[in-house]
Amino acid sequence: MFLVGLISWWYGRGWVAQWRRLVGQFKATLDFFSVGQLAATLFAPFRQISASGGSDSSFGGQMRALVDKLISRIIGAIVRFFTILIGLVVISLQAVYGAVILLFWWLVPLLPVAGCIIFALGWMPAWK
Amino acid sequence: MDASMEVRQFNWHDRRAQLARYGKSLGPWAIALQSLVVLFLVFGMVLLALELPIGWVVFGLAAVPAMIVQWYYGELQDVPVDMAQRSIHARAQAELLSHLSKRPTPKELALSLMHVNGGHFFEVRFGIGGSFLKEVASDSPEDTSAIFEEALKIADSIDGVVSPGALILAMVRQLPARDTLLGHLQLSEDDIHLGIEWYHHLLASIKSGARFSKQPGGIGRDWSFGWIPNLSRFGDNLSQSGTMAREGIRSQAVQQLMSGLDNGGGVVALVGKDGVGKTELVYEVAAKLMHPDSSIPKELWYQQVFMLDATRLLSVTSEKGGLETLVNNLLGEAFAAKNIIICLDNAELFFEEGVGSVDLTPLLLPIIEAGRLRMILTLNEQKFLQISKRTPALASALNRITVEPADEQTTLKVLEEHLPVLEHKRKVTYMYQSLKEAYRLSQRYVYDVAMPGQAISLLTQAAEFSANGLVTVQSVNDAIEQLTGVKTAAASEDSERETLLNLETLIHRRMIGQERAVSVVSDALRRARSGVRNVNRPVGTFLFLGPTGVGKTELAKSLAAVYFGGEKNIIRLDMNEFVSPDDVSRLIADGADDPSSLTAQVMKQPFSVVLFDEIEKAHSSVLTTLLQLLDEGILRDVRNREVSFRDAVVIATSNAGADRIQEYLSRGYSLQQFEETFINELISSHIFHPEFLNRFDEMVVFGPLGKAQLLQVIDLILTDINKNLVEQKITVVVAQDAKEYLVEAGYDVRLGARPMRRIVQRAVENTVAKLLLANQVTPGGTIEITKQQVQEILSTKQQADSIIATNSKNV
Repeated sequence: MFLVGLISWWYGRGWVAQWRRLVGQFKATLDFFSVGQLAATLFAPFRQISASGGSDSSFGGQMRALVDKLISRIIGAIVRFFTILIGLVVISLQAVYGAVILLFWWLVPLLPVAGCIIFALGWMPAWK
Repeated sequence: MDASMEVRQFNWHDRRAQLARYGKSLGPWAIALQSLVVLFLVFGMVLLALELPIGWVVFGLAAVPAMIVQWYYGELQDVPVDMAQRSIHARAQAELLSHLSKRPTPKELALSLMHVNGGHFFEVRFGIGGSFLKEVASDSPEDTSAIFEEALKIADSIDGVVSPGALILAMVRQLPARDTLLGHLQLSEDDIHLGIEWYHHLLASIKSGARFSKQPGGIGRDWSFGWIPNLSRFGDNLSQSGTMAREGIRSQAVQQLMSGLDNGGGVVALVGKDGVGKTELVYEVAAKLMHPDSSIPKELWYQQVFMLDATRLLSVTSEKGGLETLVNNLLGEAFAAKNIIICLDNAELFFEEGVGSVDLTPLLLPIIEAGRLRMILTLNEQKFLQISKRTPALASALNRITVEPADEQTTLKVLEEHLPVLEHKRKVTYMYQSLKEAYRLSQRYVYDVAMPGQAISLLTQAAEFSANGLVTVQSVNDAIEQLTGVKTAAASEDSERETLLNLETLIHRRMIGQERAVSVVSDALRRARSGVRNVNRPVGTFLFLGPTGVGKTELAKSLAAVYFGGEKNIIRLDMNEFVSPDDVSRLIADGADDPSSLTAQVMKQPFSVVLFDEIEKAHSSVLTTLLQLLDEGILRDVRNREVSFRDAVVIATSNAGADRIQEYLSRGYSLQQFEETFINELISSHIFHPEFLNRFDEMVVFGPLGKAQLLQVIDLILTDINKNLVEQKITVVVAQDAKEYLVEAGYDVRLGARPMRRIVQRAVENTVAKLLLANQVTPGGTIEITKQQVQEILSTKQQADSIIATNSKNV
């Protein structure tokens, strides 16, 4: 009875729960990197690091503010670009990891049998 | 089996019940199984490294415990409730289900409750659980189905889950003596119901707590917003603090605050009494903005609330100019950042000069009027009015939201939310009853703070009075008793019971005669302390009528001395000082301005005797003011605070109609015969209005003391004199004929027994002094004073008269 319960959970509710858990983790990663938001604000100034040129209306002041803002935007673009890049790599890796886990999940109950078969075959990996 | 029977019966073979039992059995082995997995894997690898193919088998076998562990944590640890079905095996919490046998009896249910978390929760918090129920529950499995049906009904009224609390309430409802039990525990069925909700809320909080991410909104959430180095240094980021507020308790106020902030960068003033939870509301909103849902306007998503503390800013720069520059920088930074909401807590500190406060109105007013920076100001009601009066433009620029004091239900929920922190800090556990008691008592005795702050402050103090780490109703009573001196619980200690039962005797040790007056006052006190009185009135209100010197004031003093812990616990007002309408303000003055006002004294000392001496001399406006006091036990002071007189005995004395009393007595009437007529005469003579007299519980006419009673008065006075001579180790005895002479000399028709003390003191003390100086008495000796000696001292009646005259001037 116990074994039946275990196997039926493993291939039913257990697998679904595992799927949900991985999806949850995946969503959290997506949320953490917020690639969409980073892409939308790619050229926005980074943390508004810019001269407070608003009150200085001279040409020099305006120019300084423009240059500051430009630098801020360039820094923002670089930081965001690399974050997007890292994010995409992490998200891809996580997707692969999730897929592997979900596939491997199906195989786990077979491992004892597989172990016995390999043992019976006497196969050993070549270490050298 | 029909459907209703199926609902009531427990199916032991049901899949959920079976899973719950597996979970219970596996629980203690979960860690061991995990270790086994690791062991198999390591051992298998070692074998494979040694080129032994058996390692594959060991390696493969690791999958078995691994699967079981996964199953345990994935399902068995807490088998989900099946809401699609309505039966006990579908709806009961798995922990509870795992303890049930095939045909559980009510007694077995009670025993199960002793082994589950929810059962412990109710055992500790409510004092009701398995250990008690197993003693009263039946042994018949036939009775169980009714309990299950009741538990399901209770669960349906909450969230459908049958938790241990639902089972406890269902079992209580089946008890024939449930009212007695609940009464003993100071609980109602509703309380247990609220307790079940509380427990479910706690479980939900624990589950949801793990779900919140540390950086909601993503890593780049704040990158497009401004750098805020100064704000980070001088302000507190409430968005990172979390909140203790329970979702939905004050959703209306939260919603109002959100809308206020959403209106194009509005400035909101949260106005309310201290303790209503204005700051807590800001914390709640800050937390909500960090975890927004669709009900929150998009413009406010992930906005961070920074609180500025006036005292902290002042400590950085004491010069006003420097402070203005700093605040200007901080607000500028917040504005430039575009994702900051500034909160000025106790905002009055930014709008007035004083210790720990500074007037920054010229700086802040234009910013608030412009409304381009979102701000929240929390303000005390009184301060808001003051600031509005001083700077009307400021008031009109603010979007005012009034935060009302919480009602009982809300306060209890707020207290429940605060308990984890309080309990962690104080290392105590609070019973639910203590929360209710804290609400009840703080509402009555804790002034200047509103709910729920009132109750929180009392509950915090009650921790000091916990018994073995458990804060009970008694702990809260002890806390309030120490704070105010009020006896709040029903009389329980033997010594107090003795005092109450023998109150008349104890009072008569201090005063002679006036049996009826002593008796009505004693009865009132006994009623109050046994819990049968009307709690919305003073303990007793009495009007003592009669001539001077018959013991009216003395009875009030005796009562204070015998029961209220000493004569100092008498609040005495000579009403001849309240003869004009203006004197009403002195009666209800704020304690800070006039600590001797009636309201201020009762606030400090609610458990006392309040004595209005010579009430007939007070102005009618003063008497009108006292009407609500006499009727409802409440008087509002100048700050409109309700001051409770519900633990005081209120006594008013009056000499009005003293001549009529003498007249009745001289015509041979007894007190009982003319008392009613006399009171009617008082009403018709317009000395008192009928509505005033009707407010008193009892009106007692005091008759003059007879000679026999006066002789007893002399004995009392002599006892006092002997107490004073204890240091000299001398005892004074007065001969009977001398006492009679003293009665003759000391009694006056107009002044009653009042001159007696002076006459006796003078006669006896003078005699003792002479004998001491003449070395005619040695320590340890007894002085017997004869009539002759008394006569010598009070040689003539004139001397006595002169003393009387002195007295009458003082009266």
